[in-house]
Amino acid sequence: MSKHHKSEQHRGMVVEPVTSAEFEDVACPFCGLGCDDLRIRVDNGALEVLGETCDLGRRGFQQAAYAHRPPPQIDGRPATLPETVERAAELLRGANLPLIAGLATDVNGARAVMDLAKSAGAVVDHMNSAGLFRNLQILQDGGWMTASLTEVRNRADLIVLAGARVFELFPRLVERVFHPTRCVLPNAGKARELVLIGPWKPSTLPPELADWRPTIIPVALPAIGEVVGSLRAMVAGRPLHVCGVEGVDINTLHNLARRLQQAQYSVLAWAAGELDFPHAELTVQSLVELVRDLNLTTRAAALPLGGAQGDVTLNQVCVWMSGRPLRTSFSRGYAEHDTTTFDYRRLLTSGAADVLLWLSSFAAQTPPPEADIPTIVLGHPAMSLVQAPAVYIPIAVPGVDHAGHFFRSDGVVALPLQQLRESPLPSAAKVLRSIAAALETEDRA
Amino acid sequence: MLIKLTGGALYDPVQGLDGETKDLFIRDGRLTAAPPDDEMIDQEYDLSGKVVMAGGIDLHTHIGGGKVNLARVMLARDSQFDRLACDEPIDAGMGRAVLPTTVAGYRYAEMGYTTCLEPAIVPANARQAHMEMADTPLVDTGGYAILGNDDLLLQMLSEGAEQPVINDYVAWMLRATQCIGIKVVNPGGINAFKFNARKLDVDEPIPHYGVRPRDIIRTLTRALTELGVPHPLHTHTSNLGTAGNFESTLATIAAAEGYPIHLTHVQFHSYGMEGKRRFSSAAARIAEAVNAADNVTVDVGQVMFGQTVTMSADTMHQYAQRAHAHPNKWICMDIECEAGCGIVPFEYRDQNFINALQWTIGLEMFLLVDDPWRVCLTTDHPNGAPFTTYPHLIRLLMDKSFRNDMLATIHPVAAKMSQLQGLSREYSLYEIAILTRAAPARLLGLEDKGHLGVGAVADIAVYDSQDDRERMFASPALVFKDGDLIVQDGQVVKLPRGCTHVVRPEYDSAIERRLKEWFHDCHTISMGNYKISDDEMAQGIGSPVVVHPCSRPRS
Repeated sequence: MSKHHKSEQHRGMVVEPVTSAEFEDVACPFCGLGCDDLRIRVDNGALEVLGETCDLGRRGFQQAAYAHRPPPQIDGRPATLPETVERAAELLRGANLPLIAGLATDVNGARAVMDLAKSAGAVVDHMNSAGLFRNLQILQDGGWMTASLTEVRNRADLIVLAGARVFELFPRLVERVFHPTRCVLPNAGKARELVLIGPWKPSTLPPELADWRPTIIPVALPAIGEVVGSLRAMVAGRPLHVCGVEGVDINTLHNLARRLQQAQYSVLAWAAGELDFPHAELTVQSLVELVRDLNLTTRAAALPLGGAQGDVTLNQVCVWMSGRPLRTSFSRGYAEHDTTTFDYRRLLTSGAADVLLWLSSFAAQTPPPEADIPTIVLGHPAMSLVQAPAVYIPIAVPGVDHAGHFFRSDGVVALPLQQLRESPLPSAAKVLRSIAAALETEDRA
Repeated sequence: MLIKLTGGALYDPVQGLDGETKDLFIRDGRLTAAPPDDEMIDQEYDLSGKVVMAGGIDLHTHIGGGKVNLARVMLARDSQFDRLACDEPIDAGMGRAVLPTTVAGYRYAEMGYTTCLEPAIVPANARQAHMEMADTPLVDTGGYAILGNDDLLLQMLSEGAEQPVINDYVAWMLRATQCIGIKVVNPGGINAFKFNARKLDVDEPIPHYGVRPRDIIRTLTRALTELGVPHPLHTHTSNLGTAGNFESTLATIAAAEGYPIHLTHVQFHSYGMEGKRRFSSAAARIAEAVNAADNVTVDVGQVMFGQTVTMSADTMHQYAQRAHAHPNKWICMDIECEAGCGIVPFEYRDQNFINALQWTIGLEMFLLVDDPWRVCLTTDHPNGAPFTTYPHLIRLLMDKSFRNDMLATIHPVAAKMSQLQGLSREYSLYEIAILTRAAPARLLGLEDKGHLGVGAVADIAVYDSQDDRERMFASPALVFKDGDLIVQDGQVVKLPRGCTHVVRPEYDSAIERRLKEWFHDCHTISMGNYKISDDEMAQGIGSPVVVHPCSRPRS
């Protein structure tokens, strides 16, 4: 049965009180950059973004503003919140290996995820963890040297960006970090150079980049690792007369290697989420090792970019509460972490997981993956579901409907998210805590 | 609710009680005077023959924030850090060195500790530190914000900013980050490392700014004194871990120019260069200087043997230590034009000359600083050792023959070089109560903690008196937090959440004009969002603040 929520729009769960207000310094949770200079006017529940923002931010706020607020459902039929909570608890209780995934939420949502996972004996994993773990595996193998956003903004004199879609994924990266109009160490800012390694063409560069006249090393994403490997060899002083990657001029590489060694503070940036090819973690490793090599004589730092949909947020909370990153299972009564075994896609494909709780509160476009097991969805109120899940509970959007905290890409800054309007929808944390409480009641019974 | 604790032997140095038998009464979470005879006691505990102290206070333990979490991630797949059996509680993990927040709370409470201070909060990361501490149950918390490597302070100093402006900035930062003190880590050195300097002495100019570490020490110690902040500048001195660094430590004491200064993990800063191996103890030199300067207090940062992980904002020296990483992996991060963090896992081995000597240097420091009110018991968790080794450390301090037995097992050259064998001092229970309760409370300005007087918060640890002081301090019979029984016979029986202790000196809000401009030019967060409000602490973060008074500011 197909249930598109449009059919429910007339149920009109609530009417917001008529309010009008303008909010300053609004933090945006719709990419990992966490810009917090937005101005938003709220008028009778509708949101208007004034001044600076980007398409991702505008869309995120609009989507939350104009969501239809469907009622909770059980098997596609409207139900009360307590009924859906009871049903969710019942499903989790009956499961051998419940999977709590998606996990696009804020810090308090994450705390509630962890508590529920412990009492339900569940596995936790994030929708973006494929990218996240390309980085974390390398961190766990050998560590790394990195810098946070403000440090890069003010200190870099050479930025090397590996990837293709970074400026789509982080639309205000140039303005906020890579090439701001003001920074506190003016020499670094003025002379800053940009090098792009990836499938770039001068003709398709965004204007703010084209003006900057970046050096382009045009290669496909899977070839980045080899280019960086060549740079490492050059930095180490090994003779290298050819580069194995087609279309790459060896002299350009020699030149870049030299500039990396001469730079006072170079930054190597990438977004692991877009490095979606086999063994891409080795590309991350080559970047990390190049940074390490450079630091023998000068300063350099890596800038791994991520954080969208709260992946950094969820990982931070999971780590401090369990001592382990995501992809951790509580099914054996203790926290057990395995990067491969507890990948949510694998658990769904193999059939090991028998109930899925999918949590996605930032975007309508991230419905649960298709799975043949009972699914509980705590979803964005505008989420389109192809199949009616066993339980659907629309939840509030953090940073719009309720206050919260969101870790941006570098994991250093946890931005305070503001509540911009009254919402009848419960937060993810509230629903998860209710489910956990219902589980405990059943346990005692 | 009126609770009576009957017949315990009280060790309360604040009141001068050295084992006197006395009843205690608790009402509404605080100690109260004896009630009228006809008032009914709701609950009574017979403490006859038991040792009673205020709850322990650890003024330097890395239990929350970005660096701790990075260490947890990096070590999550290492067997050295994951040796717990399946029957451990669901929250357990990471061996002893880096604990999940819940486990850290349990382990502290199980030893009778009820207050923990995170000593290295990078201001931009303060929210995370407070969130992690909020999720550390059973203990109250607080933190020190790191200044002295931030580009803003260095710029202000290089422009010759007046002291009152610096004072306003310091006070503003305490308020914005919800902290109780200010820490400086390798003053200027973390910043210098960002300019590729690999070492920085106390009188060496910092690249770009030209300011010297000495200037930072003087300015910040003076600022805290003038603001009336109880805790002196919490100082991780220059040249951490380097042979011969005692001279930097002495120079730092001089740089304070008589203003109160707290030298943290001073063991790591008391190294000489004597002997064939060019590494020796300078504990006697430092202790002598501490004894002679009553503006100076220390905590030791004792080393214990075993696997641990070192974590510090001191990127300059953590980077320099990377070759010693065990297992072989390490992290270095430059953070927000404020500070940094370096993480290097490490195994202290008793048959390694340097590690063995470090162990003796810490103990020498404890035994050579005369005034127990000026030395606090720490291992700089987890840098010298996990805090769970405190009971063992207490036994080493209280039991000379045990100490000498241990000394006989370490690297023989180190044992021979050390003067430890000749030190006969044994700490008494009264003095241990100073080191672990009364002195840290006084140093932090926690006027209602660290003692058992009327009006004190009813954080109380009750121990069975045992000759083996390690066993005694490892497992108190009873622990009360705010008057609630939280530990009984070594088991946690109740799981309250703690609060966050802060101080809040006054400042001229005109400083915000300059700060706003700085945030606009420099930061990737707005000034408004940088500041943590009280409501946010109580609700979103989950640890309400308790404000402690500052003394009247000196003009």
